[in-house]
Amino acid sequence: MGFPYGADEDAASMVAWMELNKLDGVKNFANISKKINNEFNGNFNNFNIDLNKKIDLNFISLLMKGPGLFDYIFQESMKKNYFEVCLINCIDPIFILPLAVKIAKKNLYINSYWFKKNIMIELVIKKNSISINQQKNNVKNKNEILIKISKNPIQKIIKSIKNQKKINIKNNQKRLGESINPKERDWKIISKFAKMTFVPESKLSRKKGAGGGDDND
Amino acid sequence: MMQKMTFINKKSIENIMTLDKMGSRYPSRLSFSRSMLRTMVKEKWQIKTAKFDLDKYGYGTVVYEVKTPKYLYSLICFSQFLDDKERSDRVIAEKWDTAYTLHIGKISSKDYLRLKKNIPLQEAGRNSPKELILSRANKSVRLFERVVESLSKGKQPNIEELNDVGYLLRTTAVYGSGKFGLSDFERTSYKTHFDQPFRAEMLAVYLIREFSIQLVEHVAYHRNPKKAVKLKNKIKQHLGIGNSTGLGMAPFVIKHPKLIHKWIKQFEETIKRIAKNEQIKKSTYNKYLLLLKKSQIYLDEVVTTDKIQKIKNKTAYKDLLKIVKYIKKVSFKNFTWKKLINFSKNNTCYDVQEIVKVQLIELYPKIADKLAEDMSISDELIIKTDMLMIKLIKIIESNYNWAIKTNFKKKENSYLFWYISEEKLEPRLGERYNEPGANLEQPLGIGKMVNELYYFIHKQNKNILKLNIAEFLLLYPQFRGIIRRIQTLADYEYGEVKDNVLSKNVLPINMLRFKLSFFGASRYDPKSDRWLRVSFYSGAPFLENLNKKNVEEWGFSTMNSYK
Repeated sequence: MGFPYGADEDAASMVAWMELNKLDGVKNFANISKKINNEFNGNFNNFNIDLNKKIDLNFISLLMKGPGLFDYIFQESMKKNYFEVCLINCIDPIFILPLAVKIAKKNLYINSYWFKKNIMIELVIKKNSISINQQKNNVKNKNEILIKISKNPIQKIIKSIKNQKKINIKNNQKRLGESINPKERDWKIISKFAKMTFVPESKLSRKKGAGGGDDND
Repeated sequence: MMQKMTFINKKSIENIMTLDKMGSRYPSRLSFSRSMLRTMVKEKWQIKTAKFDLDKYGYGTVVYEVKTPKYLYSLICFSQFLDDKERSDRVIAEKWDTAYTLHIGKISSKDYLRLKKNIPLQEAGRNSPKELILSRANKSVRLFERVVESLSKGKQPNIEELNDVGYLLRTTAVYGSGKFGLSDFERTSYKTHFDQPFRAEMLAVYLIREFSIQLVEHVAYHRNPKKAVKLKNKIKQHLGIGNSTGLGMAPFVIKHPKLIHKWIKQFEETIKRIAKNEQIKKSTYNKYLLLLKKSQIYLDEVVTTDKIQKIKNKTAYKDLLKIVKYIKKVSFKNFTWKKLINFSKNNTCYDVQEIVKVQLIELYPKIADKLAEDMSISDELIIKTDMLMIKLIKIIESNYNWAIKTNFKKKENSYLFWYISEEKLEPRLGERYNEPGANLEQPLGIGKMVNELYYFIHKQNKNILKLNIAEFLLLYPQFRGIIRRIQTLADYEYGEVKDNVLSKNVLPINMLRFKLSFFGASRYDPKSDRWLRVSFYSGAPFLENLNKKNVEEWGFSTMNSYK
């Protein structure tokens, strides 16, 4: 995959955060694995990104583009009380969650919206709580995400709590005490990726690479 | 946002965090084995053998229960037959004489079945968040059977023979913190009272040492019930628990820079506070001389076959004489710890400079023990998005001068690469220009990465210096990790190893010894430049004798240390 130092840690942390919070981190990663099984591409060609215009992710995963973009969004949030960012051609909007949660810790309120099949999904993120709301809707602008960032609470669009999932970040300790239980298919995919980062064994590497010598006493 | 900017005094830091100095460190009162045992006595932990189910050959299960003021933990030990051909120190082994886990709470019958199935498999098994530690140990081929034989005939083994090896059982891994399904440290530190680094590991290791004695005595008894005797205290106390350690420890030192900073910071702070004492009591002065003498005997007795280690020990032995001579030469009225530390810095090898300090720390428990209870820190590294590139350059020039001065285009400076072997996911070192795998290099060559970033920035248009970090990283995300590290460690002066770990001449074993010293390991016995054997708790009292008086008396243990 070629994730460079730092970008690899961020991507891993995003997947782990999702898994910890029972949001199928491993499954979501496995689902997009074919699309990220290329060279790493996390950069934006023009540093003068205009947040007033739509930002094109070019169907590249947020695991690559997200961390840098959200650092930039956070930096911009210091200059403004409220602003909106629109991402287009995004293949994995669910990964907005760990990215937004990270910057929300710095006293920001973030709401985000996208469409999945005929469902509108709304994220409402505060410092210590997250809610994921869903509502049937006509699909608009597939692969497009709207993100609202504010220093004050933002009103949510979906009022019904019928399809609401709440996550309390303070419950992390409880969740750490529960084992993860990903599906075997997803685990195999993730294991295959992990294996790509290991150097195949050889007698030479065992002898030279680990120091060799008398291995008993 | 205001930027907190700290530029480190590079002169003082470079003196501590070089590999040769890191490889000369010794255990101290701040070491984790010491603080664990101290806590055990202070809090009056009650430890009992809850189950002892071994057959006459010593195969079966033993459970120790540890009752602390708030919690109960269990160490379960599985002992099995192992063919001599299958016994190996290396992490790549797949079978062991004994296997262990430290479990939160009592072990239920359901848990017992699960643990019995999984723990002997080690890496190939699965643990639950109820388990804190996973470990295994092999019998010392040189010593275990010899001691069994001796005890079964009613004789005590010779302490010189014990000293040659140092242990009956030798652990080959002590896993914790999230590995193989174990409880993550973030949870362990919250859920249990093991809130200090490696404290749970040190409890497990101490109990495994206890088990090693019970095991050898049990087997000896069943071999000859009429004649067999138990080990005498003054002999068995010299036995530690062995440990074989390889390259796996080295990446830890680089991957946890804030934690490493914290350990050194606490050590240096202890010395700084002690050195302020200008009025030294005569009794303290005399005790210090005795401690130095003890460390000298230790150096004389400790056994190693490694040439470099032998030279190190001999040099340290001689240089300790210089210290003793100096102390006796300076009149007591004019003597200060500060002067002694300076003398050792200017006149003795690194090992002795360390011994002078660790033995000094022994004299001031009120200063040291409090700091030893504060050795933990969050590992999080943070990107400061608003910092301007020009400031980043200044930090690099101030804190990484050694890295930007190194020419990494020279083969000898980028000769090695660190990788993870497919075989049991073991960290290894490869030769970049002679072996395959460099494309899968682990990001441990911090100096090289800093160097690349620094010269990359210099090659760009000068306007790049006006960008903030967030803007720069949008363009060049490949530098994300190294920038995050440089920025964070600007506030953690001891976090970085100030040496090139890719150099052809690097001795990785120095990083191993550094970490082991904070664990409290002694009797360093290198087997190559990449792995070594050590002992834990050598000289420490066993449970039946452990008390307030003797809990701190066992550093640098020697064969005549025991009454």
